[in-house]
Amino acid sequence: MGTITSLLDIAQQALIADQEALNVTSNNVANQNTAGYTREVVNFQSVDAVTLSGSTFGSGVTASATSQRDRVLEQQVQQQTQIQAQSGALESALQQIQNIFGLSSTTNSASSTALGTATNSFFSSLSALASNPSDAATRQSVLAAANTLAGAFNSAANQLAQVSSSLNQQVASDVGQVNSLTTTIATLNAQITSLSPNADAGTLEDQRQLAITQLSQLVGLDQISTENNGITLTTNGGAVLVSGSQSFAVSTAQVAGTTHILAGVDGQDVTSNLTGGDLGGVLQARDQQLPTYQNALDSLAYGIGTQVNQQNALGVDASGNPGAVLFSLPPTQSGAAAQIQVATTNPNAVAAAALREGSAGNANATALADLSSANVAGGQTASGFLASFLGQIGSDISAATTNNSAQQATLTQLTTQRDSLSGVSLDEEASNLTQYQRAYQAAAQVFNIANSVIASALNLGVETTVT
Amino acid sequence: MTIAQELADILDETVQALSNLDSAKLDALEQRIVVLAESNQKYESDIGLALPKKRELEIVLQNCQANLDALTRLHARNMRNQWAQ
Repeated sequence: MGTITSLLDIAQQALIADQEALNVTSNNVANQNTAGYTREVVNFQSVDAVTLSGSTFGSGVTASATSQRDRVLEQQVQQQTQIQAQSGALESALQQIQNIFGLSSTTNSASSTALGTATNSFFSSLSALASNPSDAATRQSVLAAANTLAGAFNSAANQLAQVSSSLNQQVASDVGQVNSLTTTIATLNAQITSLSPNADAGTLEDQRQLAITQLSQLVGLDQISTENNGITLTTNGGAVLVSGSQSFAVSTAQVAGTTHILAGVDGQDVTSNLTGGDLGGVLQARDQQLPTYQNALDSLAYGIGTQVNQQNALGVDASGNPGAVLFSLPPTQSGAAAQIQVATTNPNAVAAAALREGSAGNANATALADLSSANVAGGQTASGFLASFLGQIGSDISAATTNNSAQQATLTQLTTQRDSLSGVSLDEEASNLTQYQRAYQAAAQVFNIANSVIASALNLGVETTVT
Repeated sequence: MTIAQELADILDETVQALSNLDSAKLDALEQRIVVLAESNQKYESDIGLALPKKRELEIVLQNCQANLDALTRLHARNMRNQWAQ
């Protein structure tokens, strides 16, 4: 049978276990606002019973705390974080491009944008010249409109280049943050492996999980669980970022004016196969979307410039000379929007007259004005091409915005799921506090009773207080 | 409120309710969409208002399905591994 001292032992264990439970609850409440904290729950475990002379006696309780962690759900949250961060970065970059062209939810006409207005004004000035080819002011207004058009192309191209440059800076900034986080994760990996190789590492694991989530916001990751509670992280292209207690720094290199990313054990260029996270979105905008827009803009500038130059060369200027080029252009389409300039400051250089018409003629001015309805780029008229181009940008932005909203909603959903399991619920903790307090009081009462029983035994049935 | 605006609001609220895993709200939205359908009003204009929201809801639902499948598959694998130990 159990002894009075075993009663005291059991009561003492109960007090310790209940105090542990109160500590765990208190720690949960204290960390309710701590980022990445995973709530702990108390597991009470009865101590192995003792069998004496055929009778079995319970011998107390122990308490331990375990984190309420669902690794599968946490990996889903990380994956979704990467997707959402990429869509957010892409949307942000496309919005900058939208602003360059003056597009907004209320602007739905290409002709009302700066480039559209400049294009229309240029062809209108040529029409006016056709009506009055000898008028110096009209000739001057053609040059002014040409300068405005060239300026609009230059401005748009320069702003696109600035966006590209700021995206390069963003890449460098992200890489710096990636390196800081991978170092942290490797250090935590080492601590977890040495301190808790076979069980949940509690706060350390929370810190590692938080760092991985922050890393997921920057770059697409694959995570592999390794022995001793370790984790290996690679980019989704396979370049190792963290392996156990070792982190592999990511670096950048300038290649043809763009910032490339080098990663992995041998520092390979992973720029082209890096997806996910802010870096994935920035690279998608910089290397896929932006070049498409730059090419389209170059195509339009080159098409208008080339066609106008060719038509002007067919005519005769106000001085009776063959028409020279109106726009200076690069030899190929590449860079045309940034480099297009008006080649002359002399209004008489506009070849309004056709050959053998005399310098006061207007046939070539009419032909120049008619270029507004000719196919100058991509088999389309200037205004048609511009409308398609700006429509494509608007469509891309709309799709990116919708996608980002949806990905954010999915991330919120997964986070809600995870928090319902791992987050601290104050109501639940309050209930637990009361429960454990009562248990502690009951254990203390058992202790008092045991104390009283011992006193009775020592005084042979006379109840006194043993001091 | 026009039918277009009402539909757009319902789509918005549906995405939000899915995000927050609010089943009571989803039930209420179902009732609202039933009432809207039974009103036999014609959707005449502002299609642009609802289309992006419809697309957003489609992506969220696709993601829900994909995540649910992944969670089910991975939890089943975890369970098998635990029983195998």
